[in-house]
Amino acid sequence: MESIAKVIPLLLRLTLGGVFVYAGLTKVTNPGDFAKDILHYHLIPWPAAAAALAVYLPWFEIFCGLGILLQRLYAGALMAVSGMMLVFTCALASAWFRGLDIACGCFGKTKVDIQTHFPALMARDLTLLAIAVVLLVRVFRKGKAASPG
Amino acid sequence: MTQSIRQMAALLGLALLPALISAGIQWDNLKAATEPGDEISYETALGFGEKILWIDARPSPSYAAGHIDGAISLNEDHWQELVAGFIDEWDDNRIIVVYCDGGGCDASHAVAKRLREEVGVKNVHVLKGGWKALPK
Repeated sequence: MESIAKVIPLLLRLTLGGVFVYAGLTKVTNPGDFAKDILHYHLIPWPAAAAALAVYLPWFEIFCGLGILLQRLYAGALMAVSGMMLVFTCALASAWFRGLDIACGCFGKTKVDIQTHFPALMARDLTLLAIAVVLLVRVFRKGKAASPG
Repeated sequence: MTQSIRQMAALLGLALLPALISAGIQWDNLKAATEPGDEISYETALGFGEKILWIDARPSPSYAAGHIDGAISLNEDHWQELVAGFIDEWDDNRIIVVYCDGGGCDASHAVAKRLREEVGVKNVHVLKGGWKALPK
């Protein structure tokens, strides 16, 4: 029973970290396509801001993913990933609500259309958000237990 | 909590240097991607007169439900089946204007790119605003 309690957080950590490293790597080689995907959401009206985000975000995802996998800057990485997942989920929901016929842009240039795959995309994002929050709460609880008084 | 915020700030900083290097390397790619480029308005397209060949890049059911008069259906989902129909209609004098559902859709750009790269069509434009921008 105790081993299961250790294995589950490990699996969650490897999944979340792995997904973020992979997501960053798929976009880092072609920020142009990612910038287009960002602009298609119509949430950022300035192309220069979309270009800056397209070039920065994949690297931030990679570093956060590595932080989670290697447990370095772990709590900060979990906090950042929770924030990112919250923003991604809201962007996805807003695109679906506005009936935008666009590609997700989540893992580089793949044809994952929001309109047709919305429930699956939403389920995936909410699952990743839940994993990040569970791991973050665990870190805070451990920290509290370890701190004197 | 304060430590977590500090760690997050460190991660934000760590990502900055490779992002700046990447921006330098990929500058042309980024610039080309964020410029409106080959998009034209409906009014401009009408100015092409009889030379225009409309390409409907939306999914086949959307095309079946309604399309611009004379438009040919050509989408990425059924590219192999539909591209032959396009080649039958196309000649070098025609001006191709591709449209998809709205201003935010990517399908028209993707089809325009494939027409240029795979079929060798030179005169290809994308309709700004897509199907939703057409006067009803």
